[in-house]
Amino acid sequence: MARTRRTETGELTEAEAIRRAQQGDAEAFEFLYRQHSRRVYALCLRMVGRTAEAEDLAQEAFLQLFRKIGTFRGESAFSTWLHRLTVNVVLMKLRKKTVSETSLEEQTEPDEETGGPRKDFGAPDNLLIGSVDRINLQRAVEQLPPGYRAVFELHDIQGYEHNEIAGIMGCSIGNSKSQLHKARTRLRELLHEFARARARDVRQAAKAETAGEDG
Amino acid sequence: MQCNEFEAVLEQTSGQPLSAEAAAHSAQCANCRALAADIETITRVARELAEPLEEAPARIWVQLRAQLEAEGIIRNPAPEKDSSLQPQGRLGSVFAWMRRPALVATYAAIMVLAAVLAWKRIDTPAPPEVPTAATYGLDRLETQAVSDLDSASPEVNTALRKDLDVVNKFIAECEKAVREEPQNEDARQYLYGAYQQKAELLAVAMDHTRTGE
Repeated sequence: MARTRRTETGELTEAEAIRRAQQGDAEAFEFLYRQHSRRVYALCLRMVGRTAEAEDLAQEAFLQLFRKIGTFRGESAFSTWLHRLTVNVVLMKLRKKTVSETSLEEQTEPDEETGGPRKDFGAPDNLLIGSVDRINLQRAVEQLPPGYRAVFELHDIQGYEHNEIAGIMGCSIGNSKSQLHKARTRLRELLHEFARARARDVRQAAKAETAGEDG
Repeated sequence: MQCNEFEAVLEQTSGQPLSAEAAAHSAQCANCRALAADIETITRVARELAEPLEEAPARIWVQLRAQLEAEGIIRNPAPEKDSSLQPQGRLGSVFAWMRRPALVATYAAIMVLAAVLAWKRIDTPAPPEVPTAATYGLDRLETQAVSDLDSASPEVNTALRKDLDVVNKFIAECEKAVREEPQNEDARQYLYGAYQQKAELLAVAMDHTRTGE
């Protein structure tokens, strides 16, 4: 078997690297790793938020990939296969963390008057525009259930198309769209809740200040 | 069009212009209009969350390669004139040399150092100062090991230097992380692990060069 001497991009095709990796060639493995490690690591980091965990997950994703590389026949793109494995590894991890899959009602602050869930997010004078920034959106994303979070991350943050996500997640395009919409509406609820909490804090602070002045 | 139908359209079109029917509904329904506007806001801010892809830390590949070799997934072909490059062990092909019989005093000293570092990884609370490779005398040992490498075959020399380069990059990253966060216990554990790996690698190198293989 010819050895893979050079690993710089452009000097070896991915198909050739896969073929050599299937025969155990170390440099072919390294080539494949270098080609995809940034994106895999970025995905893990964005999904779990902690560097040490992201490193472990990226390593695990590649390890699983390389263990199975002998079975790769090229029916799907190598990158799709890798990203599917990565998403699965991350989702397994997130699910183990027992992320609470609370219902929409539980996520929603009760209406002060009716006691039921407040659902008037769409009031024209209560739009998110102007009240959402990167920080509170990130905070809300971290509270999404893992499946929603993965689709939102892939589509709205990393820019994957629904057909790519379907390949990665092993679902239909329709399912990808549905999951994305649910993720966005859940985020909307969370962001409105944050905004209400902020408003409540301001009110309470004002009350406390007034009480202090009266006393 | 009803509100639930509008939402279904929103779900399917995902950021594309609304159909005339959906746009007409949106024009008269404040709730649906707000829903569409909020989703647009969320997707716009989400794009700001995308950051340039940073390089994956070097230690991922170091550890991954070690694992692949340990499992026999990496099976480098043996060069014709050097059967010592058979696959096994950690830290690259040089690990195969661990099976060589001669254990010189330096090798033993380095292994003691490796054991001390391993012990520090497990038991020692984070000291306030930031350790460096020089703290453990690794720099001096590396200089000696590298100069000895000239007597090794070109294949062995290349393989070892490559592995040393990988480990040194790993150590540089770990040292940087510890300098930035001196109280971060995880970072210190990584650093001690990196020093341990280097100590083992140098031991392997010295073993090999002194046995003349």
